Amino acid sequence: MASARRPENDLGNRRVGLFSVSIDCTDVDDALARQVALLYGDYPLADTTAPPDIVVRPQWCRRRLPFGSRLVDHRVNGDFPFNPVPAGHSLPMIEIGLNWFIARYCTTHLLFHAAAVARDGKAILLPGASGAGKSTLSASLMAEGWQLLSDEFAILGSEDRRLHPHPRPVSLKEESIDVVARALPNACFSNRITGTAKGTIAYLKPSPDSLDKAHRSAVPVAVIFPRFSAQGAPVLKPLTKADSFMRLIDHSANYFTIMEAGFEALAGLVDSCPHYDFVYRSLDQAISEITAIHAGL
Amino acid sequence: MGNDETKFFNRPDHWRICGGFVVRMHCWDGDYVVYNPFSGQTHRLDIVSGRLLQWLNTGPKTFGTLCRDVETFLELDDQTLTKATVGRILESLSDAGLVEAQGDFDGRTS
Repeated sequence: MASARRPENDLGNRRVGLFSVSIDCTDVDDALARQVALLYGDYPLADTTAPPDIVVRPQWCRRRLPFGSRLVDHRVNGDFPFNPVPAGHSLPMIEIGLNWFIARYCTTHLLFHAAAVARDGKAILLPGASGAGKSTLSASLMAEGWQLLSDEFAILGSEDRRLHPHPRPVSLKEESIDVVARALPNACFSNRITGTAKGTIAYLKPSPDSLDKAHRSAVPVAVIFPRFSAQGAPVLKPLTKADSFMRLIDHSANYFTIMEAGFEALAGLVDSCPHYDFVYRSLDQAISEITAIHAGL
Repeated sequence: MGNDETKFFNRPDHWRICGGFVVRMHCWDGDYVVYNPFSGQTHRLDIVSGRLLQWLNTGPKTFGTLCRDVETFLELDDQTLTKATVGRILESLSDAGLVEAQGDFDGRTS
């Protein structure tokens, strides 16, 4: 039997930084819609006279798991780029769907797998592989009043060479959920989602200040490659510009798609600011080091 | 004459950027990064390779001219070593698809 549509589960078009986004949960159950509303309900409404740039629509899949558990398909602007997932894993899939679309079709900006934070219009780019601790770090910086530009997908204008806000819910995993919950006792978190490829994850809603400033781009003033390590001494090491350039290529999601424009945008970024490799042992230490670097620029 | 010497004395005499294009490159503290428009790859080059590519960016050059330029740049007085160095660099730039030898084009060289 087909499930009834629930029009009240459509948040409408929301402005998420540069993009207008519709996450349409009218075809699935209320539990997912409530989580999406919790995370995205305070994003400003986008212009409703134009179609949204990105439409993610979770919908029940006909196929079921053994014992009748239901699977959810994710339609992204008409495509089904992913295999269906159990209903409880739909929220991460919505986030992945948004990332997938942006990485695939955004050709006017250079995208990095990086966190980015700003203060007083000056931004710090924090590129890192999965597990480097960039989400935990950016959430902790947000707790200290920094504007969250991005937690894992930073956007550099290839023309204006500025970092454009893309404040999405911050994806936290395992112990870092509790670490950030202690630092931000009043913050809004999604339910914990267990059994994902990354273990247990939860999403943190960006701070009201980060959402208020989501239309304000910032000038990058430093690139810091952070890596959390519980052992060993903390190390802050300046990187040569060529080293940073080559590492940033590895952290870009669309460098090879936008070709010369990406090369020149990256050269502009590398030219304009200092670059560091940063191994940190504690969040307090990382926050104070990054704050000091920012203050000196 | 050793094998290495045979290799560079038999080397084609004229070189240019592939297709006669100008490649985009940037240099910081002697480290070069260069964009290859044909492959879409970005290459990192040391200072000598970068300089040589920069000279070729101004137009085709003969092997002899490149050797003289490298000799002056590095203040070398050993021609055999210079030729071997330039030969190795051209080979690696050619492998990267950035430069090509005479025979692949009809260009005027300096």
